[in-house]
Amino acid sequence: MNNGKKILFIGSMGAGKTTAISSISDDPPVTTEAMNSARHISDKQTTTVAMDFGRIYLDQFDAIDLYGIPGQDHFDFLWPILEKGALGAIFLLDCSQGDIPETLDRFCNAFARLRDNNAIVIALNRTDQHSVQRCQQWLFDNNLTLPLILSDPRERTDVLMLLELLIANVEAELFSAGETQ
Amino acid sequence: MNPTDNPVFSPTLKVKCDALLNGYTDDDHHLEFLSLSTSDGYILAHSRSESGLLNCRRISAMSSSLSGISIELAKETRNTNMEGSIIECETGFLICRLVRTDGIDAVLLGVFSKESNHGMALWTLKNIAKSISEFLTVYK
Repeated sequence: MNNGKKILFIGSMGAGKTTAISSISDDPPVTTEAMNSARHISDKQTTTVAMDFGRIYLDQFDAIDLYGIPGQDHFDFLWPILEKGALGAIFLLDCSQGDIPETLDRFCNAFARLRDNNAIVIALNRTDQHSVQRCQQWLFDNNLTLPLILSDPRERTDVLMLLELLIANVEAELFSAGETQ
Repeated sequence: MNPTDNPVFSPTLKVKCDALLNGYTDDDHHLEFLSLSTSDGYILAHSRSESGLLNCRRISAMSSSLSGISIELAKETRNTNMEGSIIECETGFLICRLVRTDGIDAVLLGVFSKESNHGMALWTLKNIAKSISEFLTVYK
């Protein structure tokens, strides 16, 4: 049934990773939620402590596995484990929390293989004009051309669009890599 | 974020919990190390480790991840109210146990030497968890 396509959802605590996976997963998602004791960082009641897992079926034979990372820094030991074999990542960024360039730096460096393969789509939520400009500036400063999209992780159509965009980008990269070889 | 930035960890609570855990490891030679974390992976307290080289921040995060996975695995196999999980090694074993109180959901990790046995270790950690639960309830 599943040929092993794996997509990651990355980003800080409260960015909407668990919500995004729940929005599109065809199977009931597996979540690992615990009581959130860091309420000064994010006011939500629970937080992911190991991973989220969902699956979306493309057709009778093909599916994509959706993995969400735990976003807090002390769980960074899990990030390389979850990243193994991933085709790409949807990077959810809540622009109302934290320092935007620092968050972009942190996650793009932690998932450097995906960043270098142009296999990350940055999905912004809770944005304003200023925050979008800061993201664009950060991409420019870092000489990156990752797609930057406004989206709502609660909206299935928004998340599906991100997924399609990511897969199209990954396929284009693979195609161009094949061309140059 | 530094674990001490978390408001759950008042210095008084940490000192008292450290002393409590050190008391247990001092009394039981088969119990090598104890760590108490919030269920979302922040250090609450830990006993002295013999080598002093253990990374307690990572151990706390890993304990909470293990508990999170264990809870879901229990649910997936139609089991309810997961209380703990065991990791067996050649050199001993580790037991992770949930400690639920009104104020804090915590995870207690006990590292036992190979000279201990499962029954004794489970019984020991269950009693420690009960004491800690009572302590945290009183403290609240």
